[in-house]
Amino acid sequence: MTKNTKIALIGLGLLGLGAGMYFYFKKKATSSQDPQKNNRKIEIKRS
Amino acid sequence: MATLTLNIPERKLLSPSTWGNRASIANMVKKITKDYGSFIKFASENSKISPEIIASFIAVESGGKKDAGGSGSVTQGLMQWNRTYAKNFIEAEKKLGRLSKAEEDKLRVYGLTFNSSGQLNRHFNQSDLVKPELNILVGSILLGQYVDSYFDGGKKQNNWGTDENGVLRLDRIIAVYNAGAYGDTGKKARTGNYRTAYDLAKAVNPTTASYIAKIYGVNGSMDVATSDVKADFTNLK
Repeated sequence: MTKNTKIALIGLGLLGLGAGMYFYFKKKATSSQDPQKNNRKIEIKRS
Repeated sequence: MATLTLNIPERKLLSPSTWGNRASIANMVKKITKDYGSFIKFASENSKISPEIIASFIAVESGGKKDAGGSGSVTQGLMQWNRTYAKNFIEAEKKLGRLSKAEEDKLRVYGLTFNSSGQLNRHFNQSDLVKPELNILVGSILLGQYVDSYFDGGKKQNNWGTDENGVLRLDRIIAVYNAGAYGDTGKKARTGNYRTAYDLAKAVNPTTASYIAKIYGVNGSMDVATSDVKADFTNLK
């Protein structure tokens, strides 16, 4: 494995970590503590 | 994850032609997503209410006019909620642990903060009503409480926002949103045990019946939002 490949892999890892943290904190911020509200999903079906 | 199903449209109800034909309703809903899409998306993510439902209430309540109702009305604005009661149901949302951090942060942007007892620092005023982002946020919180069978700040009876099969009773929610929880129409919606939206619409006052048909019926706002202009909601989810 070349030095450039290692740098690229570390970069990708950091990018993935950043994206993961973004979505984790976004979900946390938009979630209430109420399980009924927080775990509710509305599925719209065409009749 | 509890999944509530909602079947659209209610085939036995027809949106009144006096409100507009199918194309004009579709155009109105499309414009609402264009004008207020980012606000609807934020409110939907936090209230867990589908953007189609939020946009439909905006359509039927104000036609997408941010100052609808006039400056003398306590229900002025996009979603026409009553500012007299808003402080109470927002405080209830906080006390019940239902308010998300993002929602609380957003309220703070508009100068609405909670003290250590969970009380807001002030009542909602006329100026708050005509701010689209705040109006949509507060209206969506109220809708979320109705979906979860809360009203007047608490859960005072068994489920009425959904039925025993996990079907979302949007007709009951529309009726309570439009006519209030305690009047004849509100009581019929919460406790009347009407089997279908059609049955409830037949039983309530004509104005509320019309609201139910406009949102829930054929050619209504939910009908077009989930078909004709479905693509406009893709980015809001």
